[in-house]
Amino acid sequence: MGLEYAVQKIQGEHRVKTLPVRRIGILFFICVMAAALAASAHPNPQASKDAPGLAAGGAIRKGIGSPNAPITMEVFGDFQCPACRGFFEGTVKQVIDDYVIPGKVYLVHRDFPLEIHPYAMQAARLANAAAASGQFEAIERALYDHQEQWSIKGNIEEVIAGSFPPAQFKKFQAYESQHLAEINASIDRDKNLGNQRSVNQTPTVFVTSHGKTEALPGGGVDYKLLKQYFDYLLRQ
Amino acid sequence: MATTAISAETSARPAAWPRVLLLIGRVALGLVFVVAAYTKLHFNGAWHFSDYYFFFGMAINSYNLLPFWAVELMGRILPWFEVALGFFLISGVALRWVGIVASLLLLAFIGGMVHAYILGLEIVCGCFGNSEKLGPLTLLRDGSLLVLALAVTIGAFLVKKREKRVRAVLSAREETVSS
Repeated sequence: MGLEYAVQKIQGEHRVKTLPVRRIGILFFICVMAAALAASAHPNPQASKDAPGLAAGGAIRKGIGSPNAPITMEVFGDFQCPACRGFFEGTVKQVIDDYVIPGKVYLVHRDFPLEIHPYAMQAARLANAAAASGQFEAIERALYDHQEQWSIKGNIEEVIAGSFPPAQFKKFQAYESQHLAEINASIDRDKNLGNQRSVNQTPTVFVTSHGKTEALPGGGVDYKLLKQYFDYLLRQ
Repeated sequence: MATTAISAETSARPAAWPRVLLLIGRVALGLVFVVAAYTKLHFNGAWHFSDYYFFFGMAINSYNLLPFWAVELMGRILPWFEVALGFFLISGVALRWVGIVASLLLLAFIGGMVHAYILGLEIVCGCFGNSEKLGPLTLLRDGSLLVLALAVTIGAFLVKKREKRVRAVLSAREETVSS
């Protein structure tokens, strides 16, 4: 009896309906794939958002390049974070050479020292002090290039001092001691901005172009893919 | 007598719950794939039909598993493939084969995630948008989805097997009647 019931089900509507549904499915699949190709070939003129302010009220400028560049790249980083070092060495340096120096990208560093890194805050303070003297790019390079040396004992100044003329480095130290509250406030502003933007790891990159800010996948981005994205944005 | 015959017929009917479970399972899995595709195409508050593949490609590339050309290709087609997979699962078309494809896809995802987790890579999962960090919870979730996909696939095969058996019996009866 049960068998007959099942047979009736198969003989009845089920057998009749199977073929058209399959055809519809195949048609749908073709349509979806065609839409995918069409969508990826034509830019979407939709969606425009206001770019968040980049100055964030901070007096210390931690940017490299021209603020008038068509693209702004913000990197929320921690100077003691190994992934940030890898991102800086593998991607950011090439971005500076190929896009920042030609005036296509304005690169902004945002301090996001993580609690798991005991010397990250100390490094950020020194970087801010150097930035106040217009030496942010040099101190960023020095901190990341020598990260492995200072991140064990926290002897940042001892390791980094060799990368600058003694007089200039003393100037950084003097600025840091005299403007500690201002420096801490600048770092806090960056951290608050990161928290507002739901930054949960370093490095996290935001790219602003055509009045729209996009978060890139956290943990750093390969240069080749970032280059493709920048070239795409510059073509728009 | 008639009452006894009807009740016997009713009790002998095949149970509906396996089909219902299969329906729930495939629709749930299909919706998961559709949502996964949606988060890859709509994020940061806007649709990204023209540039989604940059962001998704970046997430795929962070796993350090695929060559650059494969990253680009996957970044472009995977969200749409997930849309199609979700549609097929929800509609139930070619369920056995779609179930196999979904299971293999999830297996590949989990393989990549476990590899990255063992290496200690601090990356985003890329499963549902670009804001979710890879960790034990994402592994557990994708593992559960794989179990669901396998259950749907096995269920689809069992139901099909039963249907084939019924057809065979039917054709045998038809032959007997005609002879």
